[in-house]
Amino acid sequence: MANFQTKIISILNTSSPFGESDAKDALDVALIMGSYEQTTHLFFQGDGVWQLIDKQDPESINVKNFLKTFAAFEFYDLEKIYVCKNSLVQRGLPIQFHIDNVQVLDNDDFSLSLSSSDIILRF
Amino acid sequence: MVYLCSTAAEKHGLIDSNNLSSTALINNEFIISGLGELVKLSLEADKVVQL
Repeated sequence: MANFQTKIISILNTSSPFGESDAKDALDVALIMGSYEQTTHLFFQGDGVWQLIDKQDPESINVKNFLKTFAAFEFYDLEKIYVCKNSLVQRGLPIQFHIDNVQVLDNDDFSLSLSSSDIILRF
Repeated sequence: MVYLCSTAAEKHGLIDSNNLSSTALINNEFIISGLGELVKLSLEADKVVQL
């Protein structure tokens, strides 16, 4: 593999998991960035927080459960995962996710963490 | 050169001149490429602007 410079890539997830393909596209980009050994952070905000909620059953609507792939984040060195606390509260969602190591941030800390990125891709 | 996402192109029935079919639908200035190219180009760019 060619020698690429390393940048801090942030994937900002704002889409719910199963309505459109945005969430799956975001996952694909995150995994490929990790494969290329780029420092990649994941952010979940707005309807994107639904991707982290536990006990979902997409198979019941004949949709493949790509959220199971989140369990592989560690193998792609995707270790920095942030969720917007305000988005969870607005949706009445618990701070209980189907993956570990999710940092719940208030708006200011969320923005601050995002601002440290070289590239931000929003899905 | 302008790079087109292979998944999106496939969804819209677009094929380029690299495809074996003789009915390429895309101008030669466009290339259908994958996520690896996205990574490479993103890392080489001074800025990445997403619309």
